[in-house]
Amino acid sequence: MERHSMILSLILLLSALFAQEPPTGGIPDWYLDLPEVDGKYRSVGMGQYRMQAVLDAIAALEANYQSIVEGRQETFTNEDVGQWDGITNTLTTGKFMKEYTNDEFSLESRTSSFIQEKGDGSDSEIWESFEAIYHLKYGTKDQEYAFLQSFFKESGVDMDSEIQQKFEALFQNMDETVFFERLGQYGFSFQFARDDQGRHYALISVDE
Amino acid sequence: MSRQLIIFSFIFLSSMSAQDLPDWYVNPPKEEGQLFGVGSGDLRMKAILMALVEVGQGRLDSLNAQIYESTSFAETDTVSEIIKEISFFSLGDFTFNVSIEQETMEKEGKRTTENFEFNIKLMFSSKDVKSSINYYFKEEDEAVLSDHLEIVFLGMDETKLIEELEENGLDLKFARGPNGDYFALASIASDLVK
Repeated sequence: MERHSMILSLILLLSALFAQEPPTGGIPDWYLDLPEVDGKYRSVGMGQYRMQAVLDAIAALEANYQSIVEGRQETFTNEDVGQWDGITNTLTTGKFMKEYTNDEFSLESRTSSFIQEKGDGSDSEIWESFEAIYHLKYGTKDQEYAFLQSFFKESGVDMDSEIQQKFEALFQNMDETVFFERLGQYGFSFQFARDDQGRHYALISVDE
Repeated sequence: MSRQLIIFSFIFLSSMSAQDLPDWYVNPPKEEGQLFGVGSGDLRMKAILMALVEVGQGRLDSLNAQIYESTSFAETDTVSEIIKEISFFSLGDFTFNVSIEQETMEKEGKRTTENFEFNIKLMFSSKDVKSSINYYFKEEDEAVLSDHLEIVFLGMDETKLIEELEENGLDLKFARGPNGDYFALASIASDLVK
């Protein structure tokens, strides 16, 4: 069973890596190796769209500094048919953005991973699935509202996997410029870059 | 610019002096075979929409439908006028709809705007990427009853939207006034607007 836990951990790691495309030119140095700056919380994100990169960076900020993770892991073994199933679900409620923005911005994420191993040893077949949803909400009493959501799913047999990604955004009585202004009012600043493939990178920074 | 939107822009800009406005906003460029539009608003997206309204109205056949109603009330010596305008144009994968309704009242030679509302919709759809921008404004007896903007992006964001507009031939230029208001200048070859 220890082996299965290792496989599960490996899948989570691989899933995170699969979210990243192969390296190309033009990736900013700060994305590859973010230097620490005294007195600052900083994190980076990447995405097909600029706002997706921003959401990714905010999710990383939450993950690095303050978040409440609730998780559940279940495993099922059927020795008769030589099958092992593992399911892991997590719900992460970010505290960082809420605290820094008087509850105006909040981030939640859900992840779900499933692994099934059939057979034994080198003949075994592994089917795996991992999905993650991040959503960031912003709302004020004067009816400004924003909702950003990023969905990632990877599933398949062994390394022959299929990836689905979706990004959605809703703005009411505001646009992206206002979104960044409101975060700026709470001390957040951003740096953006694009690589040769047109992918977006975001660096978010705020005073400790 | 239609009379109705001139009124709206006037309301919005009444607190600004001419030197606060970009030159290209006060005197939009003119060029044969090119359509220009300027817009302003408290949000950059509203300024873009207003500029697109003007681009659409620059076409010869810009107006798709107009309804005009005039009613006279002899007892009170008043005349009520209602004008409804609907226009539509497309730009590559974008479609743009504008509907404007204005009710004016004329009494003893004095003309007042009683009701004014408009709805602007900018839609984009290409493969599995979509966006919908809807701006609704309503004013009654000089009081703003609704000023609502809603933006939905599926598989894209504002940066991508502006890139798509540019890929479809639209040039955009932006400026910001001292009060933080936004100004947009849109220009495009007239044969690209259908």
